[in-house]
Amino acid sequence: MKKGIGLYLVVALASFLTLFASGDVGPAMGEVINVGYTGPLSGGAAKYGQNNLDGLKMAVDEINEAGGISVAGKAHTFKVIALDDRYRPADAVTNARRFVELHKPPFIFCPHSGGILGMLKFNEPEGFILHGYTDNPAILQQGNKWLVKAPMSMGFYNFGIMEIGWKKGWRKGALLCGSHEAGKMGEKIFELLWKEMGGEIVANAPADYSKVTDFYPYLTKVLATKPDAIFLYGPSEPSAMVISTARELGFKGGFMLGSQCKLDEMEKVAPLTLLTPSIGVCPVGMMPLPMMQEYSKRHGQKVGTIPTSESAFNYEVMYIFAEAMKKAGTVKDLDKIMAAIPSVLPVGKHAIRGIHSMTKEGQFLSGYFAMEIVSGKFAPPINVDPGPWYKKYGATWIPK
Amino acid sequence: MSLFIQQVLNGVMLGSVYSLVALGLTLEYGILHIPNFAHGALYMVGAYLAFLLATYLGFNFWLAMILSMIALGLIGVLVERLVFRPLMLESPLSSFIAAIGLIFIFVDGALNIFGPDFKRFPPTHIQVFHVLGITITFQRIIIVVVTIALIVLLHLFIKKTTMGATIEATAQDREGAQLVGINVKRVRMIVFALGTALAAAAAALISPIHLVHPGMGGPVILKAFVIIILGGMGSIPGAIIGGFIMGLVESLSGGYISTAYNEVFAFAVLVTVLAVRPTGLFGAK
Repeated sequence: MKKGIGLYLVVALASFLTLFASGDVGPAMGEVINVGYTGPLSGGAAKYGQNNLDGLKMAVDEINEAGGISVAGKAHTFKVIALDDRYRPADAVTNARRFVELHKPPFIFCPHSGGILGMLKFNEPEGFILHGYTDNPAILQQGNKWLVKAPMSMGFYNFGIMEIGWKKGWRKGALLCGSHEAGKMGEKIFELLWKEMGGEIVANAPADYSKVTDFYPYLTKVLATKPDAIFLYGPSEPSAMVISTARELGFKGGFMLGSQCKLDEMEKVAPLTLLTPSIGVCPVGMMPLPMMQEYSKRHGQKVGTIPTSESAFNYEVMYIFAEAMKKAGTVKDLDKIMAAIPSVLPVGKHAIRGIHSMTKEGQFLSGYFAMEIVSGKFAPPINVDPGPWYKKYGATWIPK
Repeated sequence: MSLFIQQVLNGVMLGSVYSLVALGLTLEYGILHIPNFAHGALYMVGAYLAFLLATYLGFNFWLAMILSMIALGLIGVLVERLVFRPLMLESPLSSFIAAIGLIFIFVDGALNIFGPDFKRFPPTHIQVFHVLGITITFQRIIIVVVTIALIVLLHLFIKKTTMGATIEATAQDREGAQLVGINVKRVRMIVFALGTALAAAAAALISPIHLVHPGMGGPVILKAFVIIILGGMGSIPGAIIGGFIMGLVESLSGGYISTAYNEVFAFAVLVTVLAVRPTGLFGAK
């Protein structure tokens, strides 16, 4: 009996001590502001989720190493709390609720439109600003006041690529897009804009990129219509397989690669000679942005990988949030923080992707480069200004 | 016309891979009396084995294929011994759940060891032949030829050897087989070794024209499952013919109607066959 009480006391004392210990560290480091992250950290999209998280963590570590931020005379540091949602909207929502209840983060980051759309239903009443990392403009259509989005619209990214293809004289376009949600959207965007330019769609063979065992039947169908170029939208490696299979079947035309195809990842599967001629989004590591190159080096030392645009954008957005807090002079008043964001852009040497302004919907505008593959080599990046696109179509344009 | 022939060739190639996987699945069904859903995961493991042998150890394609067949055969034996045998006398539901559990073990294991990335098997036999507007690569010819060879070998093994006869006997009637003195436990192990070795062969054959990744088994096992229902559960000719039917349906419907509804056509064929013959094409009445 006595022993039992003794044990109880020891446990109570120990937990008390830990409480005090953490309390002790707190004031010296300043107040801690939690930042929530929910994204896929296991399963097929784990790498994508990790890339997003890497950028966010890089920013938070750098901010904390530099002594945190000072808001209204008080020191603050950040802490990332990451939860796995396996790419599922329902899990993302559950995670966000857990954040709100336990950690009260002013900011939550999420890299998939399903999860973002779910969270938009309650971020205003429950009080957090959401960074939605997606190129799907649907998330901006609800007019949520506490939402920002760094990647630009899928329509704009693909339009940039299509315009270059058009200038090369490609007119007969064929589609071989993934049958996932983003792939369907890519397909619609291409169909609509290509016809608007005056082009022709000669074949459409949607494929479930992750399930197809062999692309021969798909390509046989597409190539029978003799297209000038094929538009692909899907994960990099299967897309590269499509290209090498098409070359095998004797296709000499071009490829327009939708924003999900990453040229540097594709190169690992299909050599650049097979990818010639192609047009795609410039890999972030090859963008002629000096601050990005610096970041690439630091990322390599710290994380051990070359940063992707997921990493770069989330890094920059975290800095934008921190700067906006400083400017607004509050860590609690989210309206003031949101209102301060436009005035802190660009965020000095941390504007690695060059976010320079924000539309009223919360869409960040930055620089964007397309890249051609010509005679077995990467050609110099081509700067594509988002200004005209956003003027003509606006931030929320989606094909119907 | 050349478009048609090309699509038929594509279908035969695809059908070969499906047949091999379905053959293994149907053999295992004869023993387990439930579809071994982990067969697709084992197919994926076979692809990784062949990939590792070909890239890190630098073996040529044939050696990599044969070694991965042997290695996966051993893994198959181990799976039978450790997972399915203890459940032999339990309700089939237990084996069913165990198979689902195995999928998690293999797929998540591969995800942890190799990561989620797609791996590119070094392209082999890349010679391309263009004849009368039809294109075929050497690797694709190899896939079809090796599949036919394996099917013939399997047929000879089952029909001409005593060991083969014991497999057939056990599949037909386990107790009867035991009564005439067949070592059923040994038969189970042989069947698993054979079934998984066939899966490894299919995986190694397709790898050079495809990508290796942890999720690659899922879609293939789904097709194989449809094929063995179509051909008749447990039937060997059913798995072979069913595999080729499925390959041809996929390539021709994709080529002439729409690629968006591949699976719809596959299941439509299944439903039609089952409506006419509920036991499948070659199933016992």
